[in-house]
Amino acid sequence: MNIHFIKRLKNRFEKIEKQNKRSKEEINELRIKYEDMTERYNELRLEITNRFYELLTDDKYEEEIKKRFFRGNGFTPDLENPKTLNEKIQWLKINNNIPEKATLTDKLAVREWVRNKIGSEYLTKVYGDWGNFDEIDMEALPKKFVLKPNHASGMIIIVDDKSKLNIDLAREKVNKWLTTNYAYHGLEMQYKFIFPRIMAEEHLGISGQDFYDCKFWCFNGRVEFIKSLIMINGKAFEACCYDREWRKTPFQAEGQKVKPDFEKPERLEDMIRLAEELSEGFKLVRVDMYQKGKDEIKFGEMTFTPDNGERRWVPQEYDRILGDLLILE
Amino acid sequence: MFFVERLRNRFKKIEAENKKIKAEIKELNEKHEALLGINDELALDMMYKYHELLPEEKYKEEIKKRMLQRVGIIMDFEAPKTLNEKIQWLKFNDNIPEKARLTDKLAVREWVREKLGDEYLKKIYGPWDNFDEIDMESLPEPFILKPNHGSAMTMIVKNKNEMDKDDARQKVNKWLTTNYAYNSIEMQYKYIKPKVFAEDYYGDKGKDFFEYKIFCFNGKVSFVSTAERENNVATSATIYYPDWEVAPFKTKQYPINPGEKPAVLPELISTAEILCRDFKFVRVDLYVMKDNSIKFGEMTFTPTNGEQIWDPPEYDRKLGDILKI
Repeated sequence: MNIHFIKRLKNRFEKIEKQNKRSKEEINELRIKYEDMTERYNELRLEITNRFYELLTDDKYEEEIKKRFFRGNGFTPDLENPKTLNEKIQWLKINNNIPEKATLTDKLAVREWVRNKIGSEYLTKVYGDWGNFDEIDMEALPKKFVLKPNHASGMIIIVDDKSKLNIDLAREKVNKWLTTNYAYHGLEMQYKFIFPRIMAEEHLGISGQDFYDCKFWCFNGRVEFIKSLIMINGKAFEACCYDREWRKTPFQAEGQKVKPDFEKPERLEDMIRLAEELSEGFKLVRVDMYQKGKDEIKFGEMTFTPDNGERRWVPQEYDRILGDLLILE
Repeated sequence: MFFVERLRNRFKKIEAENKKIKAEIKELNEKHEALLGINDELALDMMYKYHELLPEEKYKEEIKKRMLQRVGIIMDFEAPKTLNEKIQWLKFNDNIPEKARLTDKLAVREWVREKLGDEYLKKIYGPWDNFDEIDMESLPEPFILKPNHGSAMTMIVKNKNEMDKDDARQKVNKWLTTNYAYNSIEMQYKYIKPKVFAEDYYGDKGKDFFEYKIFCFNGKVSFVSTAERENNVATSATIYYPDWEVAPFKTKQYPINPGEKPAVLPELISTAEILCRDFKFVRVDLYVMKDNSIKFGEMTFTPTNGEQIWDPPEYDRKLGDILKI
């Protein structure tokens, strides 16, 4: 039988295989394109809300906060007589937005306060702060650092290697942050009057390996529970809530992957003590700290409206049980 | 023989599958393009609505935000230094009512007629208040439709009978209900009464006729920019000094590709200098047609909305230093 014929078939076969390979690459590219597009779409949705809030007059905030809450929690909050934790956080947003919270929400201003209160050894290194991207003194920065603004939450560029940083993309991102008033992200007005700066902070290494995020929920000056987290790209990847003795709590935050076996921080008692010192005088504050290496403690931030009071708890009744622990009057 | 038959069938199957995959990829690609378009439209819509609702006393603050986002600088309205800053500053100063009048593509014709004469004007048809008023009978073929009150809105109609009227109506009426001032806070557009008019279609810009964007500072031509185009999309933009020496700066988005000096360069310069006389800063756009006649394009008081990234970037300041406000 004819060898030429088989050869021809073989060639055709190879050609098709090559095409299939190309098709697969194309499909991959499409997938990436689609992800970019989805991200852009989500950003746009968020931006539309932000701009809407910005144009809203102050007297409409309460109504809008109620609407947001209904969408997130499934019931209208009773702000006259708040009972659940999330309701109480909304109440605090409206009735207890004291100027001190604004100062301590500013990631730069809070450092001075922390220094006076517990000492500078708990502060991360900050290499500098600037008014726009092009002012950043890149030469003076170490190889690894993180960029974040002082006036917002969830915005971070982790620079593992300065020489590989895409300057144009970073400039666009940073300058966009600097023109965003985070108060209008979710009507958390303690952010409103912070003067935006971009800061370069020390790179703590890999989350969940070199350091852990520990968030101390302080109710009336007492740590009620602790959420330990592994962050990837500024977003929670895995989390778990513990009590003061590092026993897993019977409730967890919805929408986060639970990893039950975070190691108990070596200096948990110290961390609890420091968190309680910092939370003194505030009805509710989440004190975020990092446990770095085996025994270093670093201050992260003071969060007065954790998760904007829109985090659902599982089982659901814990929203009320936790709420009962928080005394407002 | 049976073996070969089987092989052949298998190949046919694989081939059919391969075709299917390719068709699917094509479809997905088109879908993605469409979604991308939707995202862009959404973003534009958002900005229009936001700017429209923004109280006027917040304009400067909003412009400062845009400048940081787009140019990367913190705009100083008290002491503007760079060209972009000065263009922003001039939005609030320097003969504002006259700038508003001359931004209207119809009203400006009267003024050009007085300054230069009728021969500098392209023939127009219309204007009309809405699509259905357009007198199609009176129009040449091909023709081009555009509104008098905005930028970057045109429709080329090659054949009247083949034109999709519903689509065109929708597009034109959308133009007419758009206040271009709110695209990016260029208030000279705000009070123009929207109309649509038609012009003869002269072919492709950059091939059948040429456009020169002449930047005039304090009544003198400072530099001229002209673009090369392929399929009506700019592929390069070169900046020249009035003596046609290539300038040491360019725009960030396009490469340069120096071309021939226009035969009517002295006339272009003198024409622009007649038109720019009353303004501290304006970009006068002129066309050189096939027969080397010069036609007026438009007076642009806020080119690129004062958000041009110059390359090298220090030219924003150097150009700003030349412009006296």
